[in-house]
Amino acid sequence: MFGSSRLQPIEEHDASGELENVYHDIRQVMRVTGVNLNFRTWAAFERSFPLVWAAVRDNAGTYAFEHAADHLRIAAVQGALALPPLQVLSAVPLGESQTYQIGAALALYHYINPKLLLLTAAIRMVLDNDPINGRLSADVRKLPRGVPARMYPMEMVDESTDDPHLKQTFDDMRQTLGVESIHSDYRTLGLWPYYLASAWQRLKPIAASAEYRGLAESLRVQATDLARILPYRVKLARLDLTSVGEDDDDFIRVTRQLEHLLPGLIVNIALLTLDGTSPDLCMDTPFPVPERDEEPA
Amino acid sequence: MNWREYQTLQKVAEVDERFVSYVDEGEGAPVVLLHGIPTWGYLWHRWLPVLSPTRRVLIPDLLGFGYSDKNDTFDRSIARQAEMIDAWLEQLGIEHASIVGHDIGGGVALRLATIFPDRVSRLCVMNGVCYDSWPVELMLQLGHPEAYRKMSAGAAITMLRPALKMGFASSPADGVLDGLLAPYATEVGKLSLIRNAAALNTNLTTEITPLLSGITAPTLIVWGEDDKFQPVKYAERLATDIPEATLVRVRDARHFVMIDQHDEVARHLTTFV
Repeated sequence: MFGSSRLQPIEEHDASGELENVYHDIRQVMRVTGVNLNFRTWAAFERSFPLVWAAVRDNAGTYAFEHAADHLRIAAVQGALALPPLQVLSAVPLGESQTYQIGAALALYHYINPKLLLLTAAIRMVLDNDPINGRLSADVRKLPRGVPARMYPMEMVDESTDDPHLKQTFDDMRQTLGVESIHSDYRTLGLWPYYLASAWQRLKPIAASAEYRGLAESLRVQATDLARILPYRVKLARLDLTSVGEDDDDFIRVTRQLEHLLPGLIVNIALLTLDGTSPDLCMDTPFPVPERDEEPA
Repeated sequence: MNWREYQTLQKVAEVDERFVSYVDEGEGAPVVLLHGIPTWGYLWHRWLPVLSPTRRVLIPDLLGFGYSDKNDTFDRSIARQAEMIDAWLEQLGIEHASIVGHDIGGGVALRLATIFPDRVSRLCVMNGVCYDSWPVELMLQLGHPEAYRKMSAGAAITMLRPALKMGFASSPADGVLDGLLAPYATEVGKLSLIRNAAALNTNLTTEITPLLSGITAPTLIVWGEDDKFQPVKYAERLATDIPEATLVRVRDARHFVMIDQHDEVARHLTTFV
């Protein structure tokens, strides 16, 4: 559940019918190995979610969208450099393969989270009657669809884990963040429970600082500004949700909460990435998009 | 050693754009231990103290298994696994090694011995797949695209557990079973296991049957006599077809012969490699 007694995120293996098709489309268009908590949460609005995805997918599949997300990632890393370093990797006994896989998992989320924030901001804006009318001067070339070959799978531990160490960390996250569902990022890092526990304990005090909060708020504002200049008009309104019999207020409330949480998540992943990678490499997209020789539509 | 402790021993190599997790312990003549399905390198954890004092023990997780790459974009057949092992050993600067394979790891070992013979100094097959001995019914079901896909990972593990137990003469400790199945207890792990099962293909052993008589590496065939998955008749046939082969039939042992009769198998293996 995500801050609601009614909503239960729909896991990928539980999706069927139209939702299964939408999840597949999301992985292809967003270029990602799995479906993040944002989508799984929205999917609980089973009649409106396909409409919402349809309204944003054209933008999500453009170079303009990719480059806007790259901008957010760079801003997050630049801001994170001013925060205390985490030094988790040196504090936890990890094998060489485990360290490699943690790096690969972080790259996955370092790549996708800025795209999620941009998309979430766009959805929230249009539902708040803040229109995105499209800017055709933007780079509307279509991204190559499909998952980058070397991207780590979005492997996640079960939220209701019986590992006592992990359960303690997840419980603390739920309480601290005020959520019921654990983000995909942390469920993936939960594959290495001691790493996640140490990371979380080091992130908590930093996340309470004014600098951190300022950075998160700055990312949220930047995402809004970048969403405003996306290439295509986002054709979505509250009426679309109510016309299929769903609670538009509930949908917007959930979307606001997701939008509120994502900037912090982006900063956290940037901090964890900086723990094992040089700042220059952190600012590069982990999965550059190959250029295409396609004429603008 | 529990599976999490074993994990911390694993190193990593990138082989043809995929990553392979492996243990590399000890010094001396290299010995490569290959697991089967549905296990991973942890299957061999009790063999580290046996072999590593005098030998370099290398235990890879095959592609798609354990904590090697579990992405959905590559071939997991035993043909590809043999190519991967060949490239991985090349990368480690190991010209040739003793190759020990269990279950489909045995099929990989046989392909190495027939197609990459220079890589194999000695060959040991333990209750390994060969000829048309496989896939067993359980794995055929597991590899069906719809059979397990919609089942939660937890439910799939619950179903696999008793089937895996059937491979043991006496029930192993819960920690061993938990460890063997641990990498497949997530949705990605479960899907990877389904893809691994879907890649099982008898043709990849039948096509090398004519080449078995050309194996020049000294060969030890160790077989749990009571194995229902890979009956001992296949061991007898291998012992006939491979010129330098010795067959050791192990009593009171099933498919997981190296666990069922650890001490006896250890005696044979340490003498052989």
